[in-house]
Amino acid sequence: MKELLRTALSKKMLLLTLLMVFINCVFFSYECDTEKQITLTGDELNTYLVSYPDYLQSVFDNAENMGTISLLQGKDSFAVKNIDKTVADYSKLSGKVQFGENRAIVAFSNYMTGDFMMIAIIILIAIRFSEERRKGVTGIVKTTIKGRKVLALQRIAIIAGSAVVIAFLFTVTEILTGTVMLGDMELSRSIQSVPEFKMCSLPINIYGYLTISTVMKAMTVMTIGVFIYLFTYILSITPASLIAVVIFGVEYILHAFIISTDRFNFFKFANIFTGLKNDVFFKNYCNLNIFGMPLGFMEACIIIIAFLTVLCSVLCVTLTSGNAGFSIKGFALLSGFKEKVAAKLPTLPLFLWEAKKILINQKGIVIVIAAAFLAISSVTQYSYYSYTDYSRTKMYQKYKGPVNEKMIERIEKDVASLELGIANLEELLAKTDPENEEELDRLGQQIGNLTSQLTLTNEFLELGKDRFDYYKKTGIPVHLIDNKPYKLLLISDTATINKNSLYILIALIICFSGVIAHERQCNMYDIQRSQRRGRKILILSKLILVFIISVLLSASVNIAHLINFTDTVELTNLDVPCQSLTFLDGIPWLKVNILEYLIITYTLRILAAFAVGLLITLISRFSKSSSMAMGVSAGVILIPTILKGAGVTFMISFADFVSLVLK
Amino acid sequence: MLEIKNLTKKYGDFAALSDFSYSFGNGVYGLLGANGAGKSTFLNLITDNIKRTEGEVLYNGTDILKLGGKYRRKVGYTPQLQGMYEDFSARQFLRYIGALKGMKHKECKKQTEEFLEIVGLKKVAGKKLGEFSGGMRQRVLLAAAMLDNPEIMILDEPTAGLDPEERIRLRNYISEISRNRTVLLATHVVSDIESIAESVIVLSHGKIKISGSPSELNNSIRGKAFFFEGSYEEVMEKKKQFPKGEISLSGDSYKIRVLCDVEPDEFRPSDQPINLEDVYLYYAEGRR
Repeated sequence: MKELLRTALSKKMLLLTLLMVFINCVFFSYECDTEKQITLTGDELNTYLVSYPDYLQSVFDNAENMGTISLLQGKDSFAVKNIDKTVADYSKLSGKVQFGENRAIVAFSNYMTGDFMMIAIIILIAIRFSEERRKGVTGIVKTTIKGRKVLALQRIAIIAGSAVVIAFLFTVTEILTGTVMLGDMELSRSIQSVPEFKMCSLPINIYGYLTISTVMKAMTVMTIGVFIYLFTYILSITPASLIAVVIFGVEYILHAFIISTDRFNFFKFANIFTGLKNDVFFKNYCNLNIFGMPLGFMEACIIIIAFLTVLCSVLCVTLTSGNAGFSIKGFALLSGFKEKVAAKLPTLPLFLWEAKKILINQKGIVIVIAAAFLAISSVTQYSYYSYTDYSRTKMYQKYKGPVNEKMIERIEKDVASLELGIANLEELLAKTDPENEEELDRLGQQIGNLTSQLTLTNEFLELGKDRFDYYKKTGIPVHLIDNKPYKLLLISDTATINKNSLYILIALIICFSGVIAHERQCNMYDIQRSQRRGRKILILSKLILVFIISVLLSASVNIAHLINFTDTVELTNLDVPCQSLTFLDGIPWLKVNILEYLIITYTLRILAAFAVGLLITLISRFSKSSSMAMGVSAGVILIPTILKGAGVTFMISFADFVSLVLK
Repeated sequence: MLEIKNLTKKYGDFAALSDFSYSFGNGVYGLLGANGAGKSTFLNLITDNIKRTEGEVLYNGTDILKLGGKYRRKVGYTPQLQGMYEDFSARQFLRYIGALKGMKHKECKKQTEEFLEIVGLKKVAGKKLGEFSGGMRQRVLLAAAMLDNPEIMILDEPTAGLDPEERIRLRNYISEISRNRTVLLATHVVSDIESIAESVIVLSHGKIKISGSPSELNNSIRGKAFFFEGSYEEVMEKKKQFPKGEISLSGDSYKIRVLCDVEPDEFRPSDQPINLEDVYLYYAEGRR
C-alpha cells in the first residue's frame, strides 16, 4: 500500500494523470471536430446499412468459390483451413445493423494521442521504482523483509492496476467527450453498424468493441510499464531510455509502415503500438499462417503482448529478488570505453553545458522532437480543399490592379453590357418558334450563363465600391483580390491548428520548467551564483537557449504548415497592400504588402512562442522544483487556452496571446 | 586581503549574524559554531549569495558588491548542501564548474584531471554523481572549489561524510594550499581545524564569541576544567547538575569532566590538557 501511495497514488502523479486526462479530452474534442467528414452519415449511411447483408453474403460466396480452387492444394493446406475459419467466423454474425450516430466511435478508433499519453503516465510510474537505485538506497531496501520478491510483485501489481485504471479512464472520458459533442452513439448496436467496421467478424456490439479495445490497451500499457521497470532496474536511466527509444521506435515503424496484407504483417499485428491503436483488428479481417494453422491476427497480438508481459514480470521478480549488485558486463565494458573517450573530449562552453542539461539530462530533446513530430505530422495530414472556382478566379484576373474610379466605371459598364445582352437574348427567345426546342435550349443556356456572370459582376461591383470607399478614406491603394486562401491560412480556427498550439505549449512547459527551478532542486543555485559567470552570463545562456528551442519548435511547425498549405492553395498578389485583404481593414496604419504582412505574422508567431518560453522561465525562477514550475505554468498557460477552446471566456485575452504561438 | 566590517544579516527581528568584523589574510581560518550559530550565513554573505543588512565586505579595499564577477573569480566555494546534478559524471561536473568560472578550455581540462587525481576520484571520474557516496560528493565539490586556483577558498563543512583517511588527506591538502591564499573553513568538527588553522573564530547566536590562534583559545580557558571521580551512581547524580559534562570510565570508577569558571563542590581541577574541543564546548555550547 505504501509503495502504491509513493508511486501511482502520489499527489504529483494523481495531479499529472488528471491533467493528462483533461488535456486528452481537449485533444479528443479536436478529433471529433464537426467540420471534419470522418464517416458516412445520413443517406450514405443508410445505403451502407441496406447493403450490409449483401456484403456478408458475398463473403460466404467468395469463400465457396475460393474453397473450390484451394481444394487443389489439399484439404490440410493453410488456404483451405483459412477459408473454413473465415466462414466459421462470419457465420456467428447476425447481420443486423442499425442506423445511429457513428462519428464519436470512429473518432475514438482513429485517435492515437491518448495512447501516447497513457504510455507517458505508465513510464513515469515505472521510473519511480528505480528511484532507490538512483538514490543509492537499493541496499537498504533489499535488507528489509519485503524488499525483494514481495516488493517486485507489489510493483508489478501496481503497474497492472494503473494500466487498467488509466486505459478505462481515458476510454470513458473520450467516449463522454464524443457523446457530449456529437450525441448519443447507442452502444447496444452491433459494431458492424459503423461502416468502418464492416469487415469485423466478431459478434459484438459497440460496447463490446470499446471493452475489448480498452482491455487490449490496458494489457499493452502494462507490458510497456513492466518493460520500463525491468530496464530501469538493470540499467541507469540513460542507457535504459536509449534502448527503450530504439525498441519503441522499431515497433512504431513496423506498426506504421507495414500494411495489413503484407507478408510480413505478423510484425505489424504482434506489435505493442497495434495493441494500443487496435482498431485495425476490428476494421479488417486477417488470419496469420502459424505453422499451417490460421490464427486470427487479434489473437496473435494478445498472445504476444501477454507473453511479453509475463516474461518481463518474471525477469523483474527474478532480478529484484537477487542481490543489489546486478550489472551487465557488456554495459560495464561500454562505460569503460565511454570513460576513456570522455576524458579525451574537449570541454564545452557554458552555453552548450546549459543545452546539455535541458536537452539531454532533462530529456528536453525527446519532448521537443515528439511535439514537433506530432504537430508536423498533424499539419501535413490536414488536406486543404483544392480552391478551384474558375469563374471567380477569372474575374479577379480581369479586375486586376488598384481599385479606382476607372475600375468602378469599367465594372459598371460590364454590368450594363451584360444586362443588355440578357435583354437581347430574352427578346430573341420570345421571338423564337416554340417548337424549335434546340434553339430554345441554346438561348436558355446563354441567358443562364450571362445571368450568373451578371450576378458575379454585380458582386464584384459591390465589392469594388466598398474597397473604393476604403481607398478614399485611408488613401491606401487596395486591390481586388481573392481573400479566401489568406483567410484559410491566417484566421481559420481549425482543430488541427489548435491541437498543434497545444503540442507546442506542452513541449515548452515540460522543457523550460526546469530551466532555473532544476538548479534549486539540485542545490546548485548557490554554487552557480558564487562563480564568475554564474549570474548574468549564465542567465543569458539560458535565455538564448529558450529562444533557440522555442523559435525552432514554433518555426518548424509553422513552416511545415505553410509548405503544406501552399502545396494545395496558391497565394497570389503578394506585392499588393495588405489591406486588400478585407479582414485587415482594421489596421490602416500598417503600410506593408501582403508578403511583408505574412513575414511579420510568422515572425510574431515565432516570437510569441519565445514569449511563452520566457514566461515559463520566469515561473521557473520563482519555483522550488521543476514539477512545481510545471504545475504553475500549466495552470497559467494551458488552462486559459483550453478554457477558451471550450468556450469559457475567463482570461480569454491571455489565451489569445498564448494562441498566437501558432495562429 | 578580505576585510569584514560590522557585517549583519537580519531576518525580520532575528539576527542571523550580528556586527561581525574581522580581517582575513593568507592561511586557514576556522569558523567554529553549533548548528544555527551563523557560520553558513556568514559564508553566504561573503560569497554575495544573500543580501547583507548592514556592514561591508572588502576585498583588497573594495566592496565585493562593486567588484561583482571580478571578486567571484577569486573565490572557490563549497556549500554545506551537497548540491549537484545527479546525472552528471564527476568529470562533467568539474568541467561545468570550469565553464562557470570562465576558465580556458585547455586549462579547465588539465585542472579537472589534476584535481580528480588529488581528491582520489580519477578512477570513478566517469561515474554518475547520483551513484556517489556522501564523502565522494564532498570531494568532488572540493575539487570544484579548487579549480582555477582561487585566492579565497570558502569551505562549508567540507569533511562531512568523509572517512578518517579522507579527512586526513583533505586536511593536509588544505594546509598545503593555504600558504598563498585565504581558506575559510566552517565546521563543527573541531579536529578538522585544530592542527591546521592559523586562527579560529568561535561563533554563537550570530556573534563572535572569541577568536585567536588555537593556543590562544586554549589558554583562554586554562584552569576552567574540573573533574569528579566516583561510582556510577555518584557520577550520574553529578550529571544531573552538569548535563553537558563528559563522562568517562577510569579503571573501576567513573569520571565526569566539566568546564566552568568556578570550581564546583567535590570537583578537582582536571589535569587533562585543554584542547580546541573544550574551547568549542565552552564558548559555542555555553557549557559552564
